[in-house]
Amino acid sequence: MSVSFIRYGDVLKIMVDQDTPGKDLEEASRKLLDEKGVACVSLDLKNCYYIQSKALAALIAFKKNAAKIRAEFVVSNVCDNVYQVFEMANLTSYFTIREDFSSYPAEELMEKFFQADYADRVSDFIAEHYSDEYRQQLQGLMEMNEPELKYYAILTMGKAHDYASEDRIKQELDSDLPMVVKASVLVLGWFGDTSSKDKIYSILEGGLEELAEAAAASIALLSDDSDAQRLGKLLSDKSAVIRTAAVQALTLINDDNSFNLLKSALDSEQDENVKASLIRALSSFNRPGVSDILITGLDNSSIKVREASASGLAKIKAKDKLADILRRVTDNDAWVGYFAVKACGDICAASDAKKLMDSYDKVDENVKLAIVEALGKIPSDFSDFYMKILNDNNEDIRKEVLAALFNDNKDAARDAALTLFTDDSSWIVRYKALEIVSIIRPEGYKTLLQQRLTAEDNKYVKEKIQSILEEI
Amino acid sequence: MITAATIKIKDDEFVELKDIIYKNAAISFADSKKYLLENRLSKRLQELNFTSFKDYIYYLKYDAKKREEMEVLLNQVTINETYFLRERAQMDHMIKTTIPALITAGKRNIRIWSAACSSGEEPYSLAMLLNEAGLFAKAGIEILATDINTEVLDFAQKGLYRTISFRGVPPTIQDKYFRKDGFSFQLDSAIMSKVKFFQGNLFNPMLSAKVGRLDIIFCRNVLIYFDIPAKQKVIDLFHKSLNTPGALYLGHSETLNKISDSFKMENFGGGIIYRK
Ligand SMILES: C[S@@+](CC[C@H](N)C(=O)[O-])C[C@H]1O[C@@H](n2cnc3c(N)ncnc32)[C@H](O)[C@@H]1O
Repeated sequence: MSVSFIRYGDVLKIMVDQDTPGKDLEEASRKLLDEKGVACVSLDLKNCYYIQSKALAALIAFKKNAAKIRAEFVVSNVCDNVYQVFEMANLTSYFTIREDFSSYPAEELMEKFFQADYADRVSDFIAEHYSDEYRQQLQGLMEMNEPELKYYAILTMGKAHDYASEDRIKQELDSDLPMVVKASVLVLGWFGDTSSKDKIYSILEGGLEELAEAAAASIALLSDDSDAQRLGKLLSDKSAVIRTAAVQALTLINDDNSFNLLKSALDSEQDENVKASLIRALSSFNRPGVSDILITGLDNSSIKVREASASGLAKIKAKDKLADILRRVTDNDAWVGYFAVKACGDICAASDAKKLMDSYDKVDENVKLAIVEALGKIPSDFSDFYMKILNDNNEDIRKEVLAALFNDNKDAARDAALTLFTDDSSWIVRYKALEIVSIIRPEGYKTLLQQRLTAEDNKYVKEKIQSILEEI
Repeated sequence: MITAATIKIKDDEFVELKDIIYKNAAISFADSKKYLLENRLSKRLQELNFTSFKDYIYYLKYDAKKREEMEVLLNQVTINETYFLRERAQMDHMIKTTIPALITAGKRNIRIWSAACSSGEEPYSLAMLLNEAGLFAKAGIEILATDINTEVLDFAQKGLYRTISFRGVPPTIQDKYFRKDGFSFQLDSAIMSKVKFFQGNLFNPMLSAKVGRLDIIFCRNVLIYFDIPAKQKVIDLFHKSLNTPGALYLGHSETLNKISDSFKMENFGGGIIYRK
């Protein structure tokens, strides 16, 4: 049988073999009409490495017949070759294309760990549908000398809470393969295996970057009151990698002790990268004094530290420092200006907005963009200002203006979006306009979309129109 | 991946970033690959203090160092999976048929190009097989190897490989050409000296001048990331760069069907060769 129907509750899976003749497919699509109580039809092409363009008509018939029995229709496991055929026939957005790992035997799934672009999702899938069969397969991988496979085997067991494998995973802390050690460190952290903590410290102290980061995360998970002090000592280690890892661990622990340790490390730290990471760390603490530290950071000689400080201020929404922040909007470093403006968007009142608008003509392009975005967040209507720059030469500015208008004045946004959607020369602006039109849904918008579907020549905008039309 | 929180990408950000990547490397991302960008770029965004992909897009467009950042971006988004003697039937075909025919026709110097060589396993495999067949003694053979990703090229030039690169390699070959060094394997320096690496984007108009004229091209498992117009462009470049007779080998799941008919296609049993 080259086409087979398999029922799982209200899901109907249709498996298609390679080289299925077109007429068999057509017959199967007619058979679909006899099915009752199906909510979703999944046509699975896992076994089709290529497809004749003649078969496409049958696939379209499937979709139509699925609609007749009121079932959703998806095409699953489309390989690159078949996808290319869909592409040539302009069908990639006509069909909902999905991945369905449940069609693969356990052994074939394991092989996908070799493919970087699948591995993570396969691992998630197996963990979610954990069974003895998967478990056995994973244990098999543990005995092979393939770092990638072992890495994913361990992570998957971890995600599946397979505590019975804990001892086996522990052994791998001594592996010579860094990837494998990394996976074990992470999983033992998730498992709360405090007995491995000392070992994990020694891995962190080994100073290998990818391992140090994982070790930091796990130490934080396994930490008790004594760990802040222990990590604090590492903040003055001579290796920048180790210092950075200690910063990460303390950030995750996030208690008073950690805060004080990080704060005092900031004074002695010389390396600008580590210093920037200390600034980022401190801005994740909700403590008095943080905003002062960040304001001081704005005067640091290192660009990295200044930018981290400005971005920190945006993150903590330092209301008490508004005046200082506003002053930085016109900073020489455009990214400091950018983050300063972002901070304003979250903390300014309408009365402060004028300062932002006055700076507009004095700043770089990226800061201008941030200003428009920030104005859109401040609860007041700045349409007059937007209208002046709605015809700016820069496409991103026009796009941001539209978005800000949408926040402040829906009527003006609707009119602007309708015009820009048809007339703007940049697809980026048309795309944003389309998003807004599809939310506001002005009268006659469906006809407009249909017209634009033929007139539009950008493929992203076209696809978006198509998917909106399909929804309605 | 698991340690750093991933930053979610919005629809409009995704299409714009996808377009930037497409314009610079022709690599196309299906919507189902959104998570790939999120996974691979979140850490970079955090290093730059950004909290959204929009910030990053503006960085790519407006920062003074945007060209360097483009390199960082492309290094993150290419898929570099490869291993020694991958799809070996084609390599054997080159050794047993294509090169002997060129030599019989009187060719003294043969130039081979591995056009998306990733970390070097493909061109080095060719060099090892050429050496096994004693062909370096019979003609002057030059192997060029290019890739868009500068990180993999650095890796290739070190010639130091992990077990993952040796799937399916016979132990005799591995023992003969590699010296074990801890958990890595160092490739023999004589083989390394046969391959010349340099950075090359298949869509850079200067590339054709940089590689010059060739007799054989390997371009495997990269066209799958390109859409049809981009594939056509690359195939045109190959056609122009090849001497006549010339040979093009593609990955075994890739075909020129509906893309170009400038080559003669020939099925040799173990795979397909496109001849000029
Ligand atoms: C999957 S690897 C293939 C390696 C090898 N040819 C093989 O078959 O095993 C694909 C390679 O194509 C490279 N690549 C992607 N886009 C490229 C472009 N526009 N120009 C040159 N190389 C590109 C990637 O960096 C990656 O290393």
